[in-house]
Amino acid sequence: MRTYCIINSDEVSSVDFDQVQETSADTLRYSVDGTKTFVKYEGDQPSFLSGKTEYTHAEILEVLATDEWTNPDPI
Amino acid sequence: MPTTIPTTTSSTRPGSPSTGDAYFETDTKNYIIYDGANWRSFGSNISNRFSAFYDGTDDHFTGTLPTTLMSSDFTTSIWLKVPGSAVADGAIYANNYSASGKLGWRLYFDNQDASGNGNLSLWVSDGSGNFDNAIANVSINLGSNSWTNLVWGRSSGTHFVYVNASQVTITQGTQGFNSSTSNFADSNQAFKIFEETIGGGPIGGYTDEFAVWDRALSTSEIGQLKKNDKPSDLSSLAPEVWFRFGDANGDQDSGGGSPASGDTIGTLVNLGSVTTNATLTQQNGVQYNSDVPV
Repeated sequence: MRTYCIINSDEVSSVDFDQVQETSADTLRYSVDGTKTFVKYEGDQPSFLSGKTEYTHAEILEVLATDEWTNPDPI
Repeated sequence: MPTTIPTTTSSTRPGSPSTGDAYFETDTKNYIIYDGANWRSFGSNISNRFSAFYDGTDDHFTGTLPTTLMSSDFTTSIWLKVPGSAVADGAIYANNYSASGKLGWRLYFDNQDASGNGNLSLWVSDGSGNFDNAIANVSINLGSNSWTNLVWGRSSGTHFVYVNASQVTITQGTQGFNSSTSNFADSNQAFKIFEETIGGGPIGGYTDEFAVWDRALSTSEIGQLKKNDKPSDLSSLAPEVWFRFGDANGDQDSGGGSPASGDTIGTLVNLGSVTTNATLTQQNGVQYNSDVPV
């Protein structure tokens, strides 16, 4: 089961991409204002995410559906 | 004197079969023969054990297509299963859409539009702020959490859409420029399946059997893409690009092993005729899944 953690954009440099599902810093999805992103992993929380709030799949989908993360303009 | 065919199961098929190897699958009750590239099931559809699963947060495919492939007439086909919720909003395909100075486009599915119709649209940008809505919102049968075959293509400058082999009437929307002759696979391509940033994207759900032809398939040929509501063997239709998401010989998980449901996708082999510049690479954890078109 996957777990998700939101991090600040300036914390991306601390992400070990061998321990998360995201491919690299270049493929991360950012909030609309660019200040936040997230990573997902299976199993135990990687140490570099210690203290970060963990979200389930359903919970992170609710977060990502907000205006903070999704630009409603399809054009 | 009867001949007893050796047995296997769909999850324990030989990993390195030889052309002509034949088995009886005790779980599916199918007689399967290896043709050198695929397992074929006697008396039924092409063997299909896996699809690609996207969790709807950020996972998607990036890829390349030969630059001549979608330059004039073309046809794309994909099997989709998406839920009837906001997670089904997003670009099914996109390439450089809105990118400054580049011709780009996106085939977008809007499950949560104002009318709740589950609309498909095609927008094309010229890189200079002009847009062509070559397919204006057309209601299609997606977002029902059931497997659907979606065909989109262009014939002599006119786009066409088929859903489960039935043609859908489409109309032209806003036309800031005319994209009818645009090259949909230009040299600056950044092709994506389930693009993660446009509109409400990315879509969450499943895809299977993605194929592209360098020509407009006929209605009769589009009818051959499915058999008994399942994907057909596309070999006789000779696609230039054909990805099977776990069912091509050589498809691997991210660790280099054989695909299994739940594995993160690794290498995907193009079974189409082009040998260069036809790739799909999963990003951010697209997984194999045993939920396949039925």
